[in-house]
Amino acid sequence: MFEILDKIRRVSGKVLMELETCTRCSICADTCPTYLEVKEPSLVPGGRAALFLRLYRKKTSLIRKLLGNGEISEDEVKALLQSSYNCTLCGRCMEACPFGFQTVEMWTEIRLILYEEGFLPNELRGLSQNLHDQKNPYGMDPSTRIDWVDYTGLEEPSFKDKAKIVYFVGCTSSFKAVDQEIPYAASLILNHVKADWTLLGEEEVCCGGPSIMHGDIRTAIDLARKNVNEIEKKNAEVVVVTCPTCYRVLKWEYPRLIGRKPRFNVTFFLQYIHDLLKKGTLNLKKKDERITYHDPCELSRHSGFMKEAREIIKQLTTNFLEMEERGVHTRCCGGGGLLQATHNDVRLKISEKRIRQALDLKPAIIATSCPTCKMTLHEASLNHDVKVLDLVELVAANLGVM
Amino acid sequence: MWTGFFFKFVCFKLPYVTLIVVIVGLANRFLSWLTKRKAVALKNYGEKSLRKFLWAIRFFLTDMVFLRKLLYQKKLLWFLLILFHFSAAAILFGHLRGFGVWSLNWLNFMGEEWIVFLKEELPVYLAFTSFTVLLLLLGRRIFMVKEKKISSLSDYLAISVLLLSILTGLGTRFYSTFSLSPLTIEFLPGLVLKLDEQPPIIWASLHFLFTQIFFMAIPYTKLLHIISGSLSSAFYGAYREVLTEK
Repeated sequence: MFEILDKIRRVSGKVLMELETCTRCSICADTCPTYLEVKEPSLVPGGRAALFLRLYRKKTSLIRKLLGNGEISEDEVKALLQSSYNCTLCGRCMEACPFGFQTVEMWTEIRLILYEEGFLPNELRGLSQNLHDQKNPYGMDPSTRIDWVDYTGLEEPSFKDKAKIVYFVGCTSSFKAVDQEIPYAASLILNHVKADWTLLGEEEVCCGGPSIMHGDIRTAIDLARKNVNEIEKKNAEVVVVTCPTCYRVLKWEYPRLIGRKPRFNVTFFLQYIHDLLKKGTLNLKKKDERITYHDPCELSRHSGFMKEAREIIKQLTTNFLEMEERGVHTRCCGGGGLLQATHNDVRLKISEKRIRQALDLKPAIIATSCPTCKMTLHEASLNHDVKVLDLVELVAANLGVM
Repeated sequence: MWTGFFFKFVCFKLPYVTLIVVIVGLANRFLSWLTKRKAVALKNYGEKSLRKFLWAIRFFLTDMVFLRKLLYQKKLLWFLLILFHFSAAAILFGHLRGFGVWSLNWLNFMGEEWIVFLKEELPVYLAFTSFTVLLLLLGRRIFMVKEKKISSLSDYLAISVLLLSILTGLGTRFYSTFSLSPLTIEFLPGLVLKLDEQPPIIWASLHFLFTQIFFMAIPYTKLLHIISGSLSSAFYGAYREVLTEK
């Protein structure tokens, strides 16, 4: 007989250890962006862990089996599904947790188990299909992937058979109008320093991040293989990326997805700029605009990039304003974890809070380094007198190439 | 008469049960962690290195021992938990004297007054401190909405058992019908408790009982964090080190 959530047994050893170690201290609740907006106890990260553990024990506990209460009900699965997808996967709970549980891994494992049992929020079914069919989460025709080149008026896009650097644009920057200035700026900088670089063009597909986020590992593997194959065909030594999710997935997930280490290095564009500044290849002019910086969760907490952005901004302005919640303690903009598709109202509330934090500093510009953060914060800032820009755009503008 | 029977049971029979329950529980836990598939994060840690190991130690010390993250976020709770954990650790260390691990004679250089303080007064202060903090933590779990909603019965039981263990431990000191003759109990072969004076038998029996229930509960409740919390903090440290590789 088919039993609901039988695959719950397949949870990894480390995640199980963390779930069993959780003391339900609920310290995580006070930093969780979604809990702080919704105030629903089932959204407390520790509560989600407790619910999952309870269901796991139902399947594995001998005593429960003997007592005959080892069945998981559909309502329990729905509660887990609801809690799991009311999360931005920002990982703030990891930084709050006294035991340092790697919670994003925990939540993505739960989503994976749910997906493998056929449980997926209805709002994500279209997105999942798009990733499978169109190789991007927005359902756009793959042939429109490089339309941003025309929209932005980029005069010298680089499409080469072989190049030292491949610039991996990412879906959000390729398809979302508000973000298309990011690849435009990055391309201009690459041209400015006369780098030997190329785009993947229509051959680029989604990095696989959104697939991993909802548990569709098979599609993630297909996407990873396709991208690695295309990049390796170019004989590229390094892939530069302007999207933190793409960076994390290419850097850390691809080796396990394709079963080997790719034959190229992955660098975040900020690191690339940082290195050029250090070498003296790039020279910025210091101005006095009031700039604050929003650390993207994927970049700071999940990838360790914090000082690079600050060092670059300090070369751009004498008026750098730090927000209280920054670095590994950055507050999520609301745009992560596919929350836009599942609970857009919560996403907007979270982004409004972050914008208000930034506005307290009275900045002229809120800089960030993530197309999703830029899109989300831009939406929340529409009624305010502040610009939300990617740091790459700021650098390009400062260089006078944009 | 029943007190004598009860005393013999908790001192000479129950320890075997406790030992088996703890060993089976911990073995079951560790085996279930080790035999399951490897987590993605562990695969991403890459090669083992001395630097990763040092970072693991660093975060174990800062996060597990000194509760760094709590200090950053909730100063009052940090203070209370530091008070509790250090008091509990000191009480545990004090008990090791009875099991022959250390001796007060080693501290003779401190003088008679200090020795008496360490032996008679400090344990009581420490027990009161940890008891009070634990009571506050239990209250927090009972009266605060989100803490209450995510707590399970075993969470309350774990705190209650510990409270009872401390309370009965205090009872052995306050309700003293001390006999001045020393007491020696061999709980398990090689695990011998030597007390200078006999505590009241009923309080001692209850203390031994609740303490053993506490030990038995470790593998099956959130008390497991005493052991596994160190591992997760170390993993977190290694993860942080990996992120420095760009």
